[in-house]
Amino acid sequence: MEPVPGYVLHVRPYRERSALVELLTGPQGRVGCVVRGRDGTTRPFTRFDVVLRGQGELLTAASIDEVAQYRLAPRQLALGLYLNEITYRLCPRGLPAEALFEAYGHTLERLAGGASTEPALRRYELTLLDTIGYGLSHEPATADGEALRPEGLYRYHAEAGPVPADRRDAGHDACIHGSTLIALAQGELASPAVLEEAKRLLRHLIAHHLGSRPLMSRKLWRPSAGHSSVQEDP
Amino acid sequence: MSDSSLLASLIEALRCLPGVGSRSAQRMAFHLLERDREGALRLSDRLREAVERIGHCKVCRTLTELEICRICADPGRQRDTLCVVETPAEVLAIEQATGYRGLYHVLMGRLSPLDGIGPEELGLDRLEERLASGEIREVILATNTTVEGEVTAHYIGEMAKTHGARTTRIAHGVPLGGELDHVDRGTLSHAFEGRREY
Repeated sequence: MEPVPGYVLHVRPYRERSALVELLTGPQGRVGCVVRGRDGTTRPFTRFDVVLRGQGELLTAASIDEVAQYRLAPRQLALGLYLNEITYRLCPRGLPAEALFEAYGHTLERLAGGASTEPALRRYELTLLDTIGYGLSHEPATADGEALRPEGLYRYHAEAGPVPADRRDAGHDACIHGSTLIALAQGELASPAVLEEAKRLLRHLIAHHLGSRPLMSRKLWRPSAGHSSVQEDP
Repeated sequence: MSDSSLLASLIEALRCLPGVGSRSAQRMAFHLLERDREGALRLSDRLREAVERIGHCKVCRTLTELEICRICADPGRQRDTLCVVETPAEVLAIEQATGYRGLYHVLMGRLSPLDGIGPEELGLDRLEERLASGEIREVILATNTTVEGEVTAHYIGEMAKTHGARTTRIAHGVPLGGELDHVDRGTLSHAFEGRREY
């Protein structure tokens, strides 16, 4: 059997010497498998070539070989866990996720490289929403099919898309400029203004799709640790 | 095989121990009943007593039958140094292997968002109270080198800094007597980055 590449999202001890490992692969998306002979090398932020056997919810890793380990600096680890938590919670097992797999690798590289991670995180969130069928429209138009005006203000509805905002929507997280939606549709995530509005909107949309249980990884940013941490959280 | 249901339930009960499957549980049960009934009674007494009386130290949260554990109550320990570990077993390991004379804080776990364990669930407010008392000048981060252990160390490190304490992290690398080609990649690259003047 051909090995498939996969990133480790989470590891739980299983019996004495095994581990339950959650992987993100391209063709099979999120996969849960049993890895025998747990030795601490199967850890998150590692890419493996894995041969999977079995059927159903839980597979068995017939072989698992490390391809690359991404060393995240301590302050980037929480961002990495955020990435894993949104993937784990939003992406159901077995849903093919080729684009998400690519985006995950790209984002990990940025996190490990210590470079600016905001555009990569936003791109990942957009790809994740796309993968689960709630992507932002690539046609910059309102829910009624009207073209977006760059200077117009819209309220983005999680299920329906953007509608022109009224006065009551001012200051709402889902309130966003037409110019930002146009930039997102074109995949342009360079300008700070776009990034700021996109962060707010994506946070709102992800929270909507997650339901009532909030993200635990968000709690890894200490509220009292000064203003720098506020900018760092995703 | 005997049809005693009491025997069957003893075997089943023994399986709650780590690493004990049905075969080993059976062996243990027969051994206790056939060869060491006295030992079995002693074991059952100690088990009941331990489970009923051992709780957590009010200060460091390690397992103890006292309100405040022996280490926390010892006036000879350095009260300005705090070593943070994940489990009570690690306190024992450090006590046996090192000459550490400071105090401990036992987290009884580590931050792990995907397992639903955040700062609140881990009771980090208790640790924050200790740091806020101003008595602690150095926090030794001795959580494990797993991803979750590192995140926990970072979080507590930030917490300690806001209270003006110096933070240190225990060193990780090649085990003593270990051969380089048997060490996994992650450990080796960590050991290389953390090399020191010699």
